[in-house]
Amino acid sequence: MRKSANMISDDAVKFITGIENIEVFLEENDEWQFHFSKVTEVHWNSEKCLLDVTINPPCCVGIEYDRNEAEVFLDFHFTDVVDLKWDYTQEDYADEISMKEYNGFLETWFDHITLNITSRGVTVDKPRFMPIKKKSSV
Amino acid sequence: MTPEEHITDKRSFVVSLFEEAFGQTADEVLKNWDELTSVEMDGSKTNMQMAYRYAQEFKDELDFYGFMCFWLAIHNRWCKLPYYEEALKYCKQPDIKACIETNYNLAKSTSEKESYDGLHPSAYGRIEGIEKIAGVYGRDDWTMHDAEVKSIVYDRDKMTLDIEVDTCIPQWAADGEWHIIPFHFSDVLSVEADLEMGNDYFWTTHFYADDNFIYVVFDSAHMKICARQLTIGDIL
Repeated sequence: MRKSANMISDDAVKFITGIENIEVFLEENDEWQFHFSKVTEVHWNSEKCLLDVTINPPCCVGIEYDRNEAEVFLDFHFTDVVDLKWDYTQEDYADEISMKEYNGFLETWFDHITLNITSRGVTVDKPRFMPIKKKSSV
Repeated sequence: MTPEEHITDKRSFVVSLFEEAFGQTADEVLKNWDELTSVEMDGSKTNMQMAYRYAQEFKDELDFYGFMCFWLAIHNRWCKLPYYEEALKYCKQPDIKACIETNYNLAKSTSEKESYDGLHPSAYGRIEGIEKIAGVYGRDDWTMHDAEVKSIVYDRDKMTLDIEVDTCIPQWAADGEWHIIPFHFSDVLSVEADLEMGNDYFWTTHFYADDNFIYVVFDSAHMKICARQLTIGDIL
C-alpha cells in the first residue's frame, strides 16, 4: 500500500507518473522532504514545453547502497509546462517538494528554493546512483 | 549587405551612414548640410563637410566605402572594431589607410573600454562576442524586440548556463527571419527566471558588472543571471 502523501494531494497524484520513485527514499516520517537537496541540472525547451529537473538529495532511504561510494539523483520530467519560476544560487538547497492540482494543472513547488513549475504532468524516473567523484590527492 | 550593395549612389550612402551613426533622417542631413557642421561631433565641427567633400572626390566607390567605415568607427561610441576592420579591407589611399591602422590598433589595445548604453565598462571585458549583438538596434542598444527564451540548460557541477534566445532583428535579416542567439555563462553564481509559456517575450537586455561578476538581465522576461563569464556564440 502506498504511503500517504502529506504534501501531494490526491488530486495531484493523477498528474504524476512514477511517484513511488520519490517515496522510496524518504524518511518514514519525513515524506516529501529532501533536506539539503541540490538542483544539479535544469533543461528547458520552450518548443516542446518540456522541463527536466535533476535533484540530488543527500540520501535515499529504503534502497541499499553505500552513501560513501554513491550519490542518488532524481530526474523529473515536466510536460506541457506553462509557467516556470526559478530563483537559485549555488548555495541554495531544496528541503521539500509539494505537488497540487490547480484548475487542471499540476503545481510543483521545490521549497525552500524558488523552483515552481506549472505543468500538465510530471514523470519521475527511478532514482539513479552515480559513484561519488573522489578528489585526487596532491 | 555587401559594400557593392550599399553603394549605388555615393551621396545616398553618406546620408544613410549618418543616419546610422547619429540618428539624423535623410531629409535632415540633406537639408541642413552646411548647418550640420555646427553640431558637436567628437569635438570636430568640420568632419561632416570633410566627409561630403570626400564623397565628391572618391572615384573608387569601394575605396570611398572604406573611408566612410573609418569615419563611422571614429564617431561611433560602440562597435568600433568591425568598422575599422571593414575600413582597412577597402580603403586604398595609403595615407588614410595608415591613419586607420593607427586608430584601429589604439582601439584594440585600449584598456578603458567604452561604455555602451546598458553595458558597464567593467562588464565588457568579461563578455566575449558582444559585438555580435552590440548596436544592432542603433539607438535602441540592447533592445531585442520580441525575443523569446527558447532553451535553458543548467549544469550545477560545471557551473554553466546555456541560454538560446530567439529574436527577429531587422538589421540582420531584411526578410524578417528569426535568429537564435546562444549565450553561454560560466561560473554561474545565481539564476532568476520567471518564464510564462507563450506570453513571455523580452525587450531589453542589460549587462553590468559588480565586483568580479557580470549580471545580465533580460527584461521583461524576468530573467537575471550572475556569472563570471559570458560568451555570445555565433548567430544561428
